[in-house]
Amino acid sequence: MRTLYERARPTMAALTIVMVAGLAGSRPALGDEKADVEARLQALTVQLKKHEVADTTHAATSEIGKAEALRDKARSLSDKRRDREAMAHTLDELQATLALVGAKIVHAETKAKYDAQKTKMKEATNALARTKASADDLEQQQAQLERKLGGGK
Amino acid sequence: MRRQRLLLGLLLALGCAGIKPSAEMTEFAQDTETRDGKEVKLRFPELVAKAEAWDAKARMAQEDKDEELMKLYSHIAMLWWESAKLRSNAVDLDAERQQLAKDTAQIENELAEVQKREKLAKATLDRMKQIIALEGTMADNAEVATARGHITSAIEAIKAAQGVDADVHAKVTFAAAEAKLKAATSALGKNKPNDAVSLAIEAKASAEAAYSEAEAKFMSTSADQAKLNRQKALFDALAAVSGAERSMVEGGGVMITIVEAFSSTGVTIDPSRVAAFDTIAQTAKNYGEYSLVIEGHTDSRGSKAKNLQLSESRAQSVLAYLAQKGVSPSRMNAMGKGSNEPVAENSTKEGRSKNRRIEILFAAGG
Repeated sequence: MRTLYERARPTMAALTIVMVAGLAGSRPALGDEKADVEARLQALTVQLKKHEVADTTHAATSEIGKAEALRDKARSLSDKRRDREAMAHTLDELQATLALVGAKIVHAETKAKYDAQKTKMKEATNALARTKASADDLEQQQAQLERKLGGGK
Repeated sequence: MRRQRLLLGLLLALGCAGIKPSAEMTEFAQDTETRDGKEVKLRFPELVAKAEAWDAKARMAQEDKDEELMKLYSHIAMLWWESAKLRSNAVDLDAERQQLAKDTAQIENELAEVQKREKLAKATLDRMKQIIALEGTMADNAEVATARGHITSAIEAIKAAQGVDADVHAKVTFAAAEAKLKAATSALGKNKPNDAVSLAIEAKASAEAAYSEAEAKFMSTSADQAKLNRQKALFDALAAVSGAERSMVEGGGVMITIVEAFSSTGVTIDPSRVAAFDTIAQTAKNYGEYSLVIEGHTDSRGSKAKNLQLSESRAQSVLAYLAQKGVSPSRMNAMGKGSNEPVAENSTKEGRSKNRRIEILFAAGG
């Protein structure tokens, strides 16, 4: 007569297989998840580097500093399995911060072009006023001389 | 026993009470409802969708009374929202810059005109000063007085020639006139009034020849310039039309585009856009030499045939409104283009909004 354990063994084995298969099917393997997270971190790090180079006017220095801190935090979390949620949050915040950095750079570039155009317009306006005054003055002098020479019309 | 009940009640009350939304959640909710906020949504729907998704998560965390997560999510929502706002602001700035560039070009044209005036006045003044400088060195007799009269007359002729840009369009003849004038002045300075007279007469003849040579070219250039000036003036006048885009078109015309002038399926001008069409009507009356070509455009949603019909009806509606405001119908043409001529992607909300438009071309010489 088989013991209770011996009788239950095939059932337990089948149950284990079902559980493992279920777990494997319901969510990505831990290794895949880790690779995805690292790929995301890598992509965001590259994006950060590009923004650092593009920010020639230092319009987003503060946000870049925050993004660097978030990247470093993410790096420190990446190997710890229990910190996966914190890691995901950090990457979400990093991604949004980088979007803001990009927007600040675009805005600063547009503003610089706007300011340059405004300066150009101001210079043109000043030159117009100066030249107008000079032309008026010369025409007045001319009228006076015409009267003096007696040939003016 | 009573104290225990009170404590239990307090704990229950605390447990049931929700947590307050974070300052960023409140700011986001207020910001998105403003006019500017709605414009941002229209321009950068993807960024705003992300902000809204994070805001929704923050509200769920608020319901779950998870303050830490609520703050994190609302912070992320705000980062996306700020990005969208900044990009939208950059779009506005760029539009202003383009307008400034057009205004600068106009100022530079005016400057060129004034510089020409300055140059002419300076040249004439220099010529006159040469004769004035001779005062006192010349004998005071009738011959000298005659010579002075001829020189002054030559100066006038040269000035007139320069007035039609003879120094540019008839360079050689004009230079000859100037050289002869200089020689005449020099002869007078050497007390040779008779020589001065004949040289001054030659100078005047050359100046008149230069005038004739340059006049046709000058008139043609001036006509072009006048047309351009009128086109610029019209372009500036149409700046008063709020919420419209303008552009100068080849041939002396100006195109004005108004988006979302009607409700989604209606053919009556939206009340918020009536003022814009009033300004257009007034401008059209002030610039009577232009004819108006009114085109209606739709986005690509719905059937092509219906869109064509809708755009035609809308263009006719604008024509009728302008006519009612005093613009002669004989100057206007209205047509519908349906969704055939999009100016932006129809796959985005912003693009579709740009495509739903009325274009009015102020065509020169109509």
